[in-house]
Amino acid sequence: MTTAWWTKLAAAAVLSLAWACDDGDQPEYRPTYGERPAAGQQVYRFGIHPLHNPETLFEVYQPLIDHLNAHLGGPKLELEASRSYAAYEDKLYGRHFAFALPNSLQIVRSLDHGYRVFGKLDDDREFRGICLVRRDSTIHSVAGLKGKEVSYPAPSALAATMLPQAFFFENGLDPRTDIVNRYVGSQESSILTVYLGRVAAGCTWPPPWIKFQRDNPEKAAQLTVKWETRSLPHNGFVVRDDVPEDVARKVADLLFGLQDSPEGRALLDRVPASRFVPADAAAYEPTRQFVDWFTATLRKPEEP
Amino acid sequence: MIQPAALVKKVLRAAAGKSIRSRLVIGVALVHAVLMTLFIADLVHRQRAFLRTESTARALGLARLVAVNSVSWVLANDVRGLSEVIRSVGGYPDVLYAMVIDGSGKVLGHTEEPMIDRYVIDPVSRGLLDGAPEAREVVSSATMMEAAAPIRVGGRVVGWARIAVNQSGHAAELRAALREGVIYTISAILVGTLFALWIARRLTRDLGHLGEAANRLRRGESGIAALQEPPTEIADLERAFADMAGTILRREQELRQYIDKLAASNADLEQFAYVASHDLKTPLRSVASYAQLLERRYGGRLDADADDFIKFIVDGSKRMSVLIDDLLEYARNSQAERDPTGIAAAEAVEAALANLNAAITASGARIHVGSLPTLLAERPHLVSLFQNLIGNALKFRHPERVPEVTITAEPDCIGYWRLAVTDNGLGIAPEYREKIFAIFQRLDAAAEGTGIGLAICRRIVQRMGGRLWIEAAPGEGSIFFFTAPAAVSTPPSNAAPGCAPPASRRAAGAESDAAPV
Repeated sequence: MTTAWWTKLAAAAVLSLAWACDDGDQPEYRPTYGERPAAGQQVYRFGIHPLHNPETLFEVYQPLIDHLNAHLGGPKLELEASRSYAAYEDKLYGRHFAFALPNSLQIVRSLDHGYRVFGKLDDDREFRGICLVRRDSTIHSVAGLKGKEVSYPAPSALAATMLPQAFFFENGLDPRTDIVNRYVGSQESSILTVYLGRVAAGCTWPPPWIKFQRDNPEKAAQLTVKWETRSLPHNGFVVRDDVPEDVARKVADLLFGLQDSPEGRALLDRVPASRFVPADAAAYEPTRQFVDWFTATLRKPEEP
Repeated sequence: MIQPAALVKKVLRAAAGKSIRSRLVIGVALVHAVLMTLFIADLVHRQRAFLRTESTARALGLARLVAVNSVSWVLANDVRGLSEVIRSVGGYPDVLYAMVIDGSGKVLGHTEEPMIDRYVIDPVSRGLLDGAPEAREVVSSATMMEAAAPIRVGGRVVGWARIAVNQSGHAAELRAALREGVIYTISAILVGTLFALWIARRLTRDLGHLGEAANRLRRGESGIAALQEPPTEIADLERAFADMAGTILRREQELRQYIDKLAASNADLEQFAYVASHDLKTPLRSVASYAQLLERRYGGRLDADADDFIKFIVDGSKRMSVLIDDLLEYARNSQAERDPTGIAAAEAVEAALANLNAAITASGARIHVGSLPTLLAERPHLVSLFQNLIGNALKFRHPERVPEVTITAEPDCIGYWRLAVTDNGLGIAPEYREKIFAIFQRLDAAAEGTGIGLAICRRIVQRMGGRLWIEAAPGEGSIFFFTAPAAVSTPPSNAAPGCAPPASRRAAGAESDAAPV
């Protein structure tokens, strides 16, 4: 042994002390913030009105956004949900979205905030209100709802709230006085409320009802569509006026050609929609007239 | 260049010295320091690992919680909702900051509101966004650590929840633990050193006690005070030492008695030899005188046998006379008072040669005398010494060579000279080199002499404090060496290598240096 035992022991002690005193792997860290992302890429936010809760909306529409991004070749679309109609409308009317898929009422109003209509869902017949009751319900006519509670997703929901209330009014039941209106926040809640028997009828529109039937067949089997309203032009696409024309055109072309490929048709099925078609502001004139009548006759859309 | 380890070793050795006490103290202190350092280091390291694991787990847990609760808010880009979520964790103790970012690094929610809507652009953040979508520790330092968890929707990462927790408290705890550890180490060293001092003091006190007893024993003092409650090993040593001391004292006493008896016996014997020799000389002189008278008056008048008998009586009485003279000489050398003075060896040689003049002339011998010093000796003894040695050389001459004797001297040990009497005579076999110095020992019965001469020579040399020996080989002559003290200090620098200290020779006397070479 060339080194004395105590030398090794002392070396071990010193090393162990250094080992114990080693109290940091890296220097102090604080994130650095900037006004633009490190990897600069133009992002366009695509806002879809709260047809579903954000997670469900993301599951349904994100594949469509992915498809658009994969074929745009440069600009990037980013899907953005909203937790409520109010939040969505705040963002829409505040020009937060570059592209948007609002409901008809919001489309009409967005025109005043620098948006233009460039397309719509082709299935106008599907844009109608439906009223559900339990199969074991004893209500057989609109008049039977008098004095009862009826659920809706939100006061400003055109198809699910305003069209059914107009339907009740046209059938002799004043929604302002003859029934108790319950605005439960979402389409699914409106359906579940009637399923649970808390209200006599629940109003919604076809897409959420189709999804509910698919996701909850046992519950859906206990419900039945008692009334259907007239239809209005379906939801459509708007684009903010500062989005480059070529980008808007590319997005529109991609949307309008979806039905031409199996992949596109699969995406349309998720919405669901048969296809997207070009449209402009004139297509929503019936909607504007209905809203004006509704406002003049029953109430302002934003107010319960 | 001195290595650090070698330097420390040197310092420690210098500090430890050669005493058991200091070595024990240094050793105990060193062992305490090393062991306590290892212990404290291990303790601190374990504590750090525990605290870090705990911090990481807490930060990861919070990040996962935020990630789960942020899903719908992130999808809705709802700053207000995210702020609520962030606020719910921002109040946790030690949370430095919490944030939710989307896939592009945009801050959607933050404990510091001004950061909202800005982008994280540092490499760590970019690494997080580009890395694997799994919860992990993003960064860790002595004072903080950040963990992040992905915000997933249907297998897709839509953002990240990042939580940074302050670890300054942990660092302070570790520093405190280390500080306390150092205090404990120093305390352990102090306590250990004090104990070592106490133990060493007890041990060395008892050992010192035994050492003093050994010194007293060396000085010839008897009686060893018993130790007070010594440790077992020291008690065993003390018992062994006491036994040894008792044995030495007893043997010394016995030896002293033997020496006294021997000295008395020697004195009696020498006195007897002297008296006997002296008293024998008178009747022997009468016997010799009357035998010679018979030879003169009746020689040739009696028959031949009677003449031979008378001749034998005359020769016998002559030999007995010589023998008695030699015995007297030997006895005188033993009894005479020692009163050495400075005697020139050359003068002693000259006197011896004068006494041997007849023999030298008869043999035709050549005598060479070198430069001889002045010795501290008694003149008659020195003359007798040279006369015996030179006469011996003439007596045992080689039959085919003219006797040649050389007397030289050279410095021996400090204060001593070594003299040599070299001849070219018969020489002597190695097995007889010691025997010739014994009294009455004669290798050649036919040779003239009594066999006392060389015994006298050795006695004379021993009385001077020197020694006498022979180097010789059969047929090649002999060299008789003897050492003797110089009258004045002779060249100390020329002292021969390997010589024994002269003082001991002087002090030891004839007996201790009687051993032949």
